[in-house]
Amino acid sequence: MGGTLTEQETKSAVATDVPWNVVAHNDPVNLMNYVTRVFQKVFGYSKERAERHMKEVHQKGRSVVWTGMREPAEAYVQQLHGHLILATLEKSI
Amino acid sequence: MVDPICSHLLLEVTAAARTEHPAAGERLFSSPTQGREPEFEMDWVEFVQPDLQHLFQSALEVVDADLKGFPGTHSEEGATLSLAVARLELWIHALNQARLALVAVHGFSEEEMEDGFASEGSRRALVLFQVQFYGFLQECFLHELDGES
Repeated sequence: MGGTLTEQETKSAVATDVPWNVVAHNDPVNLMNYVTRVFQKVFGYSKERAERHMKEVHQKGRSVVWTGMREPAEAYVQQLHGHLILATLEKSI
Repeated sequence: MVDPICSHLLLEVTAAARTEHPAAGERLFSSPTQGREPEFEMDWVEFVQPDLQHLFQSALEVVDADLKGFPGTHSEEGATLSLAVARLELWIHALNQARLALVAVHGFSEEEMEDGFASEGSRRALVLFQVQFYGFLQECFLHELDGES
């Protein structure tokens, strides 16, 4: 029983330990300068970097806007949803 | 100066932004993993969505408060609406919420959004104009905020 718990904890640790991507997805409704402003506000990016991500979203349909640990990645997705940006969490593999 | 038609559309912002319609709810509360992690998504609905709902509602309450008494007494050309710059972020949010909800509920295609023409009926054309008007206001407010920073 104890062994099972340890195994589950290890699996859980591995699952949350891999880098996670925060991915922003294209949405024809959100204005481009609004999306740029949100990226600046949420991630503290320069206007140039935020615009690069915005253009990638617009042209390619998605952009990895941040990569890192699971917990902050979840918080960023929540913030992006708070600004009505389509955003998801993905394993960075 | 806001003309009577635009005054009417301004007064419709909070109604347009409502989240009760399934299509609007689906867009405003989108999936954080596109269904890849059902357990996480259930937690998200239970713990995160109420916070988002509260956030969205706060923006609408600011808009409602600013529109209280509007248009009031006004000339033939229209009415005046004064907004504090400090509240523009929330106006931008509410307008965005309204645009997203309207597009989701009425199922506008990307082509219709780009062309500015609704494919059928005057009601859809009016709603598409409403979406574009709110987008124009968002642009104006974003421009104003850019000037501030």
